[in-house]
Amino acid sequence: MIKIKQSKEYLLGYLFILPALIFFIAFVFYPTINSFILSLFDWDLLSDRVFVGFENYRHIFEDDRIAKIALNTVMLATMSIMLKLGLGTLLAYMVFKIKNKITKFILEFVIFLPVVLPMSVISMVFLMLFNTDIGAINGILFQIGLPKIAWLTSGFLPLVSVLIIDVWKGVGFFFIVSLVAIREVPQNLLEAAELDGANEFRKFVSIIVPVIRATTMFLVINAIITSLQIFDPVYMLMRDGGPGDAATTISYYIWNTGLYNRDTGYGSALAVVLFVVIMTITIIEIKIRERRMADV
Amino acid sequence: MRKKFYLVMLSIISALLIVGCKNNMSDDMVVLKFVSNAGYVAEFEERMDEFHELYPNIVVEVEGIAASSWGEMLNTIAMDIYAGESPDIADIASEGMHTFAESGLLEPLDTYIERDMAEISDSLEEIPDILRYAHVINGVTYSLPTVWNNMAIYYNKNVLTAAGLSEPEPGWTIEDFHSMAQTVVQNNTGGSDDVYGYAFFQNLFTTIEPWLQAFNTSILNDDWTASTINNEHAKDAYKLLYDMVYDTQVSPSMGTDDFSLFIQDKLAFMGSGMWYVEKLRNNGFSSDDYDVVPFPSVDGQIHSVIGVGGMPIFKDSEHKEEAWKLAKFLSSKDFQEDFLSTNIWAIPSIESAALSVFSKNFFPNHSNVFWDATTYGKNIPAPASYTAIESAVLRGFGAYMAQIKAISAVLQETQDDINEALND
Repeated sequence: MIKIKQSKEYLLGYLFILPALIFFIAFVFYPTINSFILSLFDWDLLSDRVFVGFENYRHIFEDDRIAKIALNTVMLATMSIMLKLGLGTLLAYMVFKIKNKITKFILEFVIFLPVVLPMSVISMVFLMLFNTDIGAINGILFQIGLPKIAWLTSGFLPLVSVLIIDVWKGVGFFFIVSLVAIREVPQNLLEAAELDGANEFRKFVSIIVPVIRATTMFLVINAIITSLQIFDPVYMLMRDGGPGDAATTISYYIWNTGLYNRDTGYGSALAVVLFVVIMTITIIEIKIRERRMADV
Repeated sequence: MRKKFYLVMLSIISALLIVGCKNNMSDDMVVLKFVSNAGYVAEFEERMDEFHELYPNIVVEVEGIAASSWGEMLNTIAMDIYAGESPDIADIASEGMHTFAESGLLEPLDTYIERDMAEISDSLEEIPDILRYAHVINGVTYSLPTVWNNMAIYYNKNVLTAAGLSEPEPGWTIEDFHSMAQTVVQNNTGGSDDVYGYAFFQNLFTTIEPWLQAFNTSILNDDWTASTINNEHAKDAYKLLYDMVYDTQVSPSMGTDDFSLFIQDKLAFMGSGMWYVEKLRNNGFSSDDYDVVPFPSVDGQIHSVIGVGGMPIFKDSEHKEEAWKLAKFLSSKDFQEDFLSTNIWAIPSIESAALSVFSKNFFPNHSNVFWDATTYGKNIPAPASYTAIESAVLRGFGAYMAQIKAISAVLQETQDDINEALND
């Protein structure tokens, strides 16, 4: 009797997860498997597929663009995470310290707003701001006697431009999550530090940062995963990933190769490699979390 | 029990609705799927009722593809075909015709043309050869031309007058052009009131190929089988554009919106197709204040790069005869004369239709520059691997303009990348 009841409960449980499972199979599992299969073929979407085995994977090692693109992606991810984390936590602590509720609300709203704005809109605005000759940023630089900067067309600056947009849009998320974590910091720790004569900087470095490190870890791991997939600002700001691949990221390269240039097999091989990298990072994240939970 | 009853009733109602919908369309009614760039859907849809009146058993569903480049447009169609949703007919330009034709996806139209020659000969006679045979690939016709565009230089009369310069004339040289541009910028201070000689984008059709042609070269050889871009003429063309930004500073940085500067009287020259005429009118910039002239060249010869639109029929179409009727309608004199009356983004292929467009009062005095290109223009080199070639050219050109790579390395790499794409 108990067994029948249990199996009914199981069945109900499975029914509840069925919609999500169907969604997962259709939009995640199947495309992933299909990408791997496609990576074994030479195919331009229009002609018949030709099986080439692991040739597309071998081609990755011969591709003279891949090193620069991988470096761009890693640099962008590293800088983006450091800036978002640093600024996000600092802003969160500053807003936490503000007593006036209205000011607090306005600041929370303003800092978080870019997170919900579409990247296409943000990119269009920055496209105008970054213009060398008629952009507002260079206009200000000119007014204060500094030379104009070719944000989107010179050297490594296209990558810096993408970084600025990514940080501006993403810092709000780090801010809000850190703010929630800071609110959970035991007040007696802060009060005790204050009695010991600690200034705000000391409290931030010695109390806030260590206490919220579990949240910081979560933010960092998630940021690594998302930063490795930066695509929109590169696509929106400049054609072909910037001059000489100056701002080409691995996600943009996958799109450009697999869909724009219709080298579907090679694009899929690159996507599979990126998938493996992200999967490895995710597994590490899960293991770290499990260890922390066990410690607790 | 009640739930089951509701479910059964819902299923019956759904089935009846589906059957009812199907019955609304008579058995001999044919629905054609016509794919076009999303920006032009309204114009096409506006004229489909007229086609439906001519052929009451054919309904045309115009499907727009929101694409910012021909590459994206082609890839969306390619994915539709892969998904078994092939269009019957599509609006495709030179940049994509070879891609589809050489993949065996397009229906050869020579037998249709031959059969209906009496009906279409009036229109065909008025189409110049460069347009008429633009979509003949390996001796097979895949489409009749509909509309086309070419590149010319727009000049701002107010800016030239303020600089004490007279208007350029066909046959002007690059030296003339550069010298005029330098005169225009001679009083610049680096502030917001600066005026520029010429502005350009990182674009193959509007910038790179026209300037290569001006130096008597191109991204590909004449039969589009190999790239010869690594040559002295191409080096001079790239160097001119580079010098205009960094040396003589007659140009703002690459990618600066030329149109905005032009209508503010802050730009003397900009390169564009005929589509800017309509845009200038919409922005209240009078045709008395500007005019057009062919691109200058190194030796005074006149060049122009041309791109031609067409309506190929897809082999997978189950309604090829009906699609051919639509193709004829879209290429016909009657259609072309009125098609671009409201939003003029291209030039009709039929001469009388084109001339009627140019006679509109908001066109500049020398609008004949556009039509005259049919006598000396060259089609944009667009073999089957066009998107990969375009990417290679833009990547190299961008690296040079950003001072990342030297000109000789850029041209060698571009040539290698193009040849690899051609042989792939």
